[in-house]
Amino acid sequence: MPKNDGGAGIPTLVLAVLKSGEMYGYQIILELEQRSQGVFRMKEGTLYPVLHGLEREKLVSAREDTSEAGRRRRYYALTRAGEQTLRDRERSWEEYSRAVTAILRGGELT
Amino acid sequence: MRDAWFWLTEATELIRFKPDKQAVWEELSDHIQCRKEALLHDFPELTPEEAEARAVAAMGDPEPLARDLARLHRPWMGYLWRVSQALAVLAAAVLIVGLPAYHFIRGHDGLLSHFAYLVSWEAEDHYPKLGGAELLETVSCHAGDRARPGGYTVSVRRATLERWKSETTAFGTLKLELSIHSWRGESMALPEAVSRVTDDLGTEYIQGSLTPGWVFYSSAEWGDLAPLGQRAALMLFSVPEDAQWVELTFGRGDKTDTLRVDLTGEAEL
Repeated sequence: MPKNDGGAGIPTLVLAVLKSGEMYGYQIILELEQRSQGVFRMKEGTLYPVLHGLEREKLVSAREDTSEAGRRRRYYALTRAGEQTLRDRERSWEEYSRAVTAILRGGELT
Repeated sequence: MRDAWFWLTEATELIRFKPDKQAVWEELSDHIQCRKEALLHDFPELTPEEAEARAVAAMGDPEPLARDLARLHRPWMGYLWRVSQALAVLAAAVLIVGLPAYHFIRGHDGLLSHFAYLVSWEAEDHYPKLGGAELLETVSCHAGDRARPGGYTVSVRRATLERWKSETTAFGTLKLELSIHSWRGESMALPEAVSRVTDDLGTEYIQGSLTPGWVFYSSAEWGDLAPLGQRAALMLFSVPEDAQWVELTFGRGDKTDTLRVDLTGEAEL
């Protein structure tokens, strides 16, 4: 039985964005906006508790580096556990999305 | 930076673990600067202050953010991490320095006497020139396979036969340096573990005797856990001139094994 939101919260979207490679916070925000074609906009500060929570759960790892402008910057990357969690949530979302679509169209599950 | 400074102060004010607070401040500050630079690039008509104000506004309300960040960066977690790191360093230091030091101190007396013996290995005056006997030659002997009596492995690190001759007799003294290891990490009880010493002529060497006999010289423990194991030195007296080999039997009962030393090596002198 899928969860009631299909597991597609902000943490899942962040994991999905990091699937394409290591990124820092601002990059993740830009990527979320671009991939959703501007539909998905969030208060940018709220990304950080999500990232730090994922890091605590060891779903992402972080390393520090210096930007071109000389500022300290944290880069995040998916861990193996993060990849597995993302696969699980993708599957869960697909089931949920199929069920909702079926209900909206008045049809049956495909 | 006025807007950003106030926003950052508010967003991080509930984080009590200072290193975390500093790191979060820098990370959020970098984000605001990135957004500000992008705004100035896309909207050249904006002043830096206006761009910063917009970048700060895009970050959202700092109050709920401060609560969420404080929940994730609790001070005890930071201190616990530091304590665990310190304990790990301490444990590594104990393992690297403390354990060998402990074993060295434990076997210190044995080590000193053993080293003293090894230093005198080549010296001529360590053995009395009984009856005016002269040293004819020194022979490096070959030791055969290892003996494995009751969980121990005994091998010969060095064996030297000195051939002596007087007007009335000729005899040899055999000096043996043994290396002893045990898979249980135990030290062999010496000299009790040597149950018999004999040669191919049937000579029985009696412990403590000079004619013929053997003495236990020294034993040094490098520690039960140390890979170097245990070293011991024995000396056999009155080895017959024409003896081809001597054999040491270790252990008692059915847990015995023998170690043979070939006396027909190459003369060094």
